[in-house]
Amino acid sequence: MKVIGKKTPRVDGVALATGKPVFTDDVSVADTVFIKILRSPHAHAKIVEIDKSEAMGISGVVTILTHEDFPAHYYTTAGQGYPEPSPRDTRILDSTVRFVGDEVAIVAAETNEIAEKSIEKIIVKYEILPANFEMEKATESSSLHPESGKTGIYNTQKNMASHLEAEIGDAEKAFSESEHIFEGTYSTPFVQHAQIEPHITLTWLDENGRLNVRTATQVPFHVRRIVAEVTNFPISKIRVIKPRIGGGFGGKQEILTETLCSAITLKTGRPARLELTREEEFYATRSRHPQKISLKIGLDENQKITAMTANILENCGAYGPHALTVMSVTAQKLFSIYKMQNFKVVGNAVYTNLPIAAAYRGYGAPQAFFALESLMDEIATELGICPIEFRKKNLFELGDELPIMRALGEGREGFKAFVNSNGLAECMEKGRKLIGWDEFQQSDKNSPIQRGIGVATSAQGSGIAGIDMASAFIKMNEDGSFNLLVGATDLGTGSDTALAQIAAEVLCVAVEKIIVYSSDTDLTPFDTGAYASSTTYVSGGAVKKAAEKVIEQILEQGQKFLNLENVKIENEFVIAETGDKISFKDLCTKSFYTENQMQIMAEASNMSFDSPQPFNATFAIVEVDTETGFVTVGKIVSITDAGKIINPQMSEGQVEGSIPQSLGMVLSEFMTFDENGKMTNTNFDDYHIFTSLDMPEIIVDFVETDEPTAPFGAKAVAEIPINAPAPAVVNAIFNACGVRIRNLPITPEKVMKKKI
Amino acid sequence: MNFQFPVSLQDAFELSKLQNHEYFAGGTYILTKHNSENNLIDITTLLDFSIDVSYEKVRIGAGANLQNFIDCSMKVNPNCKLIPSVEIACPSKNIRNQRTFGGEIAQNRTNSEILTFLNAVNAKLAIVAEKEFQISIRDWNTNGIITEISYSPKNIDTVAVQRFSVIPSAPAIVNIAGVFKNGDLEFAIGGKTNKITNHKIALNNWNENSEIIIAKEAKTGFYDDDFGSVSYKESLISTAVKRVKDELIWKSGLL
Repeated sequence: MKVIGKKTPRVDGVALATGKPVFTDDVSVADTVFIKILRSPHAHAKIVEIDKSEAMGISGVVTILTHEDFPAHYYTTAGQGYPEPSPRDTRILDSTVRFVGDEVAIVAAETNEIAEKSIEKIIVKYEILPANFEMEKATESSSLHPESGKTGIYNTQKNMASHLEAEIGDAEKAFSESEHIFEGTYSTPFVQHAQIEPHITLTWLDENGRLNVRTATQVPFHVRRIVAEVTNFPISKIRVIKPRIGGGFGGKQEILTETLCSAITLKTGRPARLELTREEEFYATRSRHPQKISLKIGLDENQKITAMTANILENCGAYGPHALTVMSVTAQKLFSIYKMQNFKVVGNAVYTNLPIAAAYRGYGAPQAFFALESLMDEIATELGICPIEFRKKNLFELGDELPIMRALGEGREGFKAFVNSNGLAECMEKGRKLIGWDEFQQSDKNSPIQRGIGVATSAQGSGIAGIDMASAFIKMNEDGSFNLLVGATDLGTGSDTALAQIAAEVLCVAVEKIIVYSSDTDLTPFDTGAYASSTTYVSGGAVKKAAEKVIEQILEQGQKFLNLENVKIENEFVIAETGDKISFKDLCTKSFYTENQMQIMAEASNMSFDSPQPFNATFAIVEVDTETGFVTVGKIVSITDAGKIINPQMSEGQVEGSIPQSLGMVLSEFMTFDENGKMTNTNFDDYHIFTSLDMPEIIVDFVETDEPTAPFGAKAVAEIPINAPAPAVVNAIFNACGVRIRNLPITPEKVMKKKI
Repeated sequence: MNFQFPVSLQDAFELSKLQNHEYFAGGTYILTKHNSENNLIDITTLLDFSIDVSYEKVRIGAGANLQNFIDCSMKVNPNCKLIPSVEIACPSKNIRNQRTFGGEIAQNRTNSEILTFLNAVNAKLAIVAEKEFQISIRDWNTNGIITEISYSPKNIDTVAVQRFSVIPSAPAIVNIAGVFKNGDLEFAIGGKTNKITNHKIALNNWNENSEIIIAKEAKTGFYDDDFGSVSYKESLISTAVKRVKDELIWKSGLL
């Protein structure tokens, strides 16, 4: 292949690097009003009265909207396929607030400063309601969502947003016949995406009265649908434009600022701009769901897994976007690496009066693999066997069915799925060599600094089977270039480049000949959006199909122009066996102007009932200061099977970018709250993300496999590498000092307490 | 937000007595912390920016920013022991270009390695208030405007620092600077605490309980938080003091 698998510069690289106006905030529209949000100081309260008279009296205030300005219509902020599997429990500006930071009113003013000043003058009378901050107590607490009209909530009275169950075989019987039984309960905290660019939206009405929404989103088509629903404005009159995005990681798979901004524009007729502050990003957007996962594993005398049960408790916070589907991925991934005949999983997602959790890179899988890979390590230690060999012994093999996928879909029924490619064993072997597993030596036992080594594995998906759909449109230009129009959303990942590479490979041209335009609901075809590691697999499939149709048309035109049957394509020429040839440029020009006139163009859609799993093995070396409990990660080796690698440079970037996020989850990142449920670490001085100063040595490599259902054999690479670093570090800490911690984050004090 | 531009530091001090008036002398990031009701007294042009880093004396104008200090020191005296503390207190060169020494001290950021270092070496502050005076950094009660920071490196045999943070870029939970001077060990202990505490003990009087006693005294400003309980932090201080003391003795060649 000439383009696939080659390091290719990003198609948007120069514009980004030279500071061109590519982001939402880089565009300004005359006469814009600026929006600020009044947020609840209470974790749970009924709004009795809102007095906005003094605030409206401030010069420069244009309008103030509260719940009284909207009908009681319930929707979900989750940008998912329709009908959404998330509960419809959210109202734009509700009369009840359910966490500290919930939206009470929005102010539009001539400047941000005036809007801020006005917010301070709005007087709200609240009736305080009981609040609960513990997921374990949620089912016994008073209902957060008793209102009628809300749909999709599993059990309103018990605060259960969602529930799942799946079972294959007879786990209890298998346990009774097992040689060994192991159990453990593991928990993870709220973690924030901390993407560079905050949520930001700019809306305006054009000359035809159509609503334009320029916004930092991963899901432009879902934005259009949900804005239309919430504002009761026709889809045909809404255009959503996604410019370059400064990171999303799932946080922008939510419709947050778009509805508010649109409401202001529709009410005032003026352009409106809403940009959240960093502080708001922390407590008022979305985060990773805290989960408590209890696992039980049975083994036979050959250390093969006979059965496993899992019980998942998930904290959604005050509302339930993605509650079911994140938990479904947790459940699916627990049973997606190791082969077993009997399993059962039960999951409950519950409401609490805390900030809202939703999609975050990995989407439930990081929680699953922290639990599973910790317990696998504990079993290997207990049985005195090599953790790598123990894992390898239990892996699914090529051709195996993945029973969990049949038993449990992602928010709807499952589909039969098989392992068509699996390089995990090779990943483990490659990582074993690169980390120096067999040569690794622990520290002198008398030293206060103890070194340890650990391993963990993981899997993810490539899109959502049976749900995700993408489409692409390609047309040829008379200089031999091609316009590629895709609904797929590049959120900083480089997917526009990867899709250009796929098109270029099929069309036999250089990537520079592909002009990509993505994510504009007026101009590009539909795509469910950039989430679930779907772009390369699902959107890439659509691009490949469209390009194949275009190449057929080029060949047909070539046959006609050359008047010969047997033709092929080489170096941007259609060439006949006789040696006669016509260039792409001439072929397109003739097609436009002189002979057999037509526009060479094609569109294609793609969806799949498969979601092939990429795999990863991550190894970690840590140092533990046994006098203080502080942990330093010295080295990470991350080996991924993402099928055929489309763009090595960008794939390495995906892996390298995911590692600090996972290390943060295990060691330094967690949202903290006071006794009233108010988040207390809402800045980067108190919320500690890994920076370049903190990074260990990283080695990234790939094991290429050929996934038969994928475009050019490529599986996803976006989420898979985030899952395993955390459990690898946890296992390395145990290896270093014998301390096993099952509840993240690992603070130094926890290490010291366990050590004692 | 309103700006006031006094013509002298004395005038600035008088203005500061008015309600909702605060000094302003640093970078734009400070502005984000102020609300629209504030009056900012801009003393930027009134402050001394000069830096003198010799082997005899370190003297820093309160308006000098952290990066200026590093650049100047690296040219004149790259062994200046304050440099590493400045680098770790503010790892970003960009932010170091905005933060002034005077602001660093005036804001009393107890987790700043610069403050623990200056406390350990007992730096002197020149202050403008009702009158001009000099005072030890350990005794300053935040009244007045700092114009100059100085200390004498020649009386210090050795300096050692120790910090504990969850990751290097995070502010320290505990940070300690220690000096060995005229047979005495002096420690300044900061971190996530309400106050930096100073402790002095003659090396000859050091015994196996000394670090525990110092930790007990120092823990009073610390509080329980999600990174650890006070009792854990007490043990952390004890470990840090012991390590600093061992390093000081090793560096001074007494081992």
